[in-house]
This record gives sequence, structure tokens and C-alpha cells, in this order.
Amino acid sequence: MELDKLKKLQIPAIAGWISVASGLFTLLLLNISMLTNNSILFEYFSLILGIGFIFAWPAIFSKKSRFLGVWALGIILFLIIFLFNIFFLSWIIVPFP
Amino acid sequence: MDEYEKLIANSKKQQLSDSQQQKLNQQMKRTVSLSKMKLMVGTITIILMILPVSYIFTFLYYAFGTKSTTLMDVTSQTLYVTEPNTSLEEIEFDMEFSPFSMQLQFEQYKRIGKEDYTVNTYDMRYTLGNLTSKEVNSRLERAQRKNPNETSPWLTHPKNQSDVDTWREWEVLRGLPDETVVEAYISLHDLHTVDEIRRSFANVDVVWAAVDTGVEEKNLSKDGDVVSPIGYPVQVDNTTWSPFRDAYSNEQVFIDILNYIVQYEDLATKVSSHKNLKLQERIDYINKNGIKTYGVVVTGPKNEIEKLEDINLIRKIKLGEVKLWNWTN
Repeated sequence: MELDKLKKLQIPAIAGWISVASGLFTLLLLNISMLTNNSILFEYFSLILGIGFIFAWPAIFSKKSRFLGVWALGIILFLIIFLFNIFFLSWIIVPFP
Repeated sequence: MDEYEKLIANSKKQQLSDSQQQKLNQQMKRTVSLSKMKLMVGTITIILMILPVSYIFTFLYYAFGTKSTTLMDVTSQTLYVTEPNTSLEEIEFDMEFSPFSMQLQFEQYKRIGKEDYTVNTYDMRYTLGNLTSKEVNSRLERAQRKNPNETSPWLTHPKNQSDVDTWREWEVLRGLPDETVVEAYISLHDLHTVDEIRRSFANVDVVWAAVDTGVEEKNLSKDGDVVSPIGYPVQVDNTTWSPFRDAYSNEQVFIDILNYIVQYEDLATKVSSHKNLKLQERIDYINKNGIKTYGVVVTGPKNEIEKLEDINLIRKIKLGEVKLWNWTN
């Protein structure tokens, strides 16, 4: 009974940490892509971001691990805004077809 | 029992049992390690965000601050008017961005005979709006001086001294094989319109004309700074994105370019190989006196260039690049 209670308490926290780790890993990939000018890594972005997004929700609904979920969603939101900005601004600053 | 003993007895009652104390210690340890982990992950997040944020800032700067297209236009248009007989393929420019900087790589061409040859490869790095690095890899066999003085330009005003040894240049020209095409820098005895010169040099192509801007008599500006010739391509230019493409008048495009790059004169001066441009002074002179040329760059078969010796318009000649025969239509 105690073990069950403990598991219930820990699952959202584990999910939260997984989502934060996914967000950080995507950020790391983004940094590597920018430093090496290698856009191949962009292919994995959506997959890892998707994992992070899914795991963030169990964490958000638990009071104790809410900050982890919010943190992960913050990173994901930052990445989405970044990609949107870069895509939109590239149209303006690069004049070539 | 005195007061002190009572106090000791009460505090002993309030003391936690060993197991409770252990549990509390464990909880405290867990909280401390969790806080440390949060701090570490938070630091990693911020570190990993530095590069993307600087990219966003850079892109915003080149989109809404000093535009990347403005830097590109100033660069290309400056080269058109300061480097005799050169053209660029703007659509083939290589543009790359890194945090707070932009890199522009491109090739510059020269018309020799009927073909364009790559003569220079430029690698420019702009830190925000400033040109901070300029590398030029030249393939020219006969290049002008890197640090020009008053008399070193290959095109000189009729009233100016010139370092060019014309007699020697004619000798060199005569020694070339007949199956070659030549680029020649011709300084004139007097000021002329470009049309007059084109009519006089009928069998060769006049490709670039140096314009009298009031400072060429001594190649010194009003402030006493050394200046070099500026001018414009004479022939029809159908290169994609060239400022002279579909132009009604190349002279007008030349004036438009000067009026545009004068707003970015510091940048234009760094881009060009000239020490100073002094554009406002020269624009004022052109607006007052119109466009007259004192020297042109021509290209054509060696024999046809040689025949120009008989035309008494020519004061000085300097040979540029020489290539194998390509004078076909």
C-alpha cells in the first residue's frame, strides 16, 4: 500500500524529469547544429520535442512536480518560438531564391 | 526542583526519537540534493539558450536594423563604381550568419575580349553593421597598387601626373601574339562624353569609363586626402540583379549609386580598395558639371588595340589582363 502511494507520487516527477531532459537534449542538438552548420540534426527535433511535450503533462497535474512540467513546456515553447522566428526572419534577411 | 531542572526536563520531552531524527535528516538531504539538481539543470538551460538567443538577436538586427540586403547592395555597388571593368553575380553571393555577424563570399569578374573571367574572390565579414574583415584572393596577373597615391592610378586626368610608362606599354602590346585579346586602361588628352569615345574606339569594346569628379586633377580631395578614380560600366549589363540591368542610362544609374552609397560612406570606403571616397564632394561636382570621362577601359583583339595608337585622343595607355583569342560573337 505504501509502495503504491510512493509510486503514485514518483511517476509525475519521473515524467517531469524526462520532459526536462528531452527539452535540454533538443536545445543541445540545436546548439550543435548551429555550431557545426549541420541541419541534419533538425530531423530529430520534432520527435524529441514530442516526447518532452507528452511527458510534461503528468508532471503539470501533480502539485509536487508541477515546476518540472512548466520548465519543460517553457523550453519547448522557447524552441518553437525560436524555430518560427528563424524561419520567418530568414525570408527577410536572405534575398536569394 | 528548581527552574533550571524543569527547563531541562521539558526540552528532553520535546526531543525527537532517533528514527524520527533520521527521517528528518534524510528528507533534508533529499531536499538539498534536489535543489542542487534544479540549480544545475537551470544553469545548463540558460547556457544552452545563449546561442539560440544570440541568433534571434542577430537575425532581428539584419532584418530590421542594418539590413543584410543593404550591406550586400552597398558592397556590390561600391565595387561596380570603384573597381574598373568588373562585374558581380549577386545572385551567386554566399551569405552566412553567425552570432552578431554576417559573412559574404562572392566572385568578381572582368570582361577580357568577349568573355568574363573570375579575377577576385571576396570574403567579407560584417560584425553587425561594420565591415570587420575583408579578404581578397586575386587571380589578376597585373594588379594595381594596393596603396594608391596621387599618380599611381592607371587612369589619370589630363592635368595630372602619371606613373604609367606609355612607351613601354605600347612595346609590350606589340610583342604580344596576334591571337590574344587585351584589356587596356586608356587615359585621354581631354575630357569627353562616353558616347564620343565609343564612336572613336569603334573596333574595340569600351567597358568602363572613369568620371571626372573634380578631384582627379591632383587625385586629392579638398581636405588633402588621396582619392582614386571612380566610374561606371559602359556596356549593357544583363547580369541578374546587376544595378545596370535594363538601365535606360548607365550614367543615371551611376549617379543613383553614388547617392545611395554616400549614406554608408564609411562602409563603402572599407569595401573599396580606395583610401578615401569623398563622395559628397564628388556628387556635388557631378551635379554641377555633368558627366565627362578622362579615361576608359577598353578590351579587344591585340591588333585593334594596337591601332588605337594612331588616334590622337590617347595620352597614356596601361595594359591590363591578356587572354587567348575569344573575340567571337
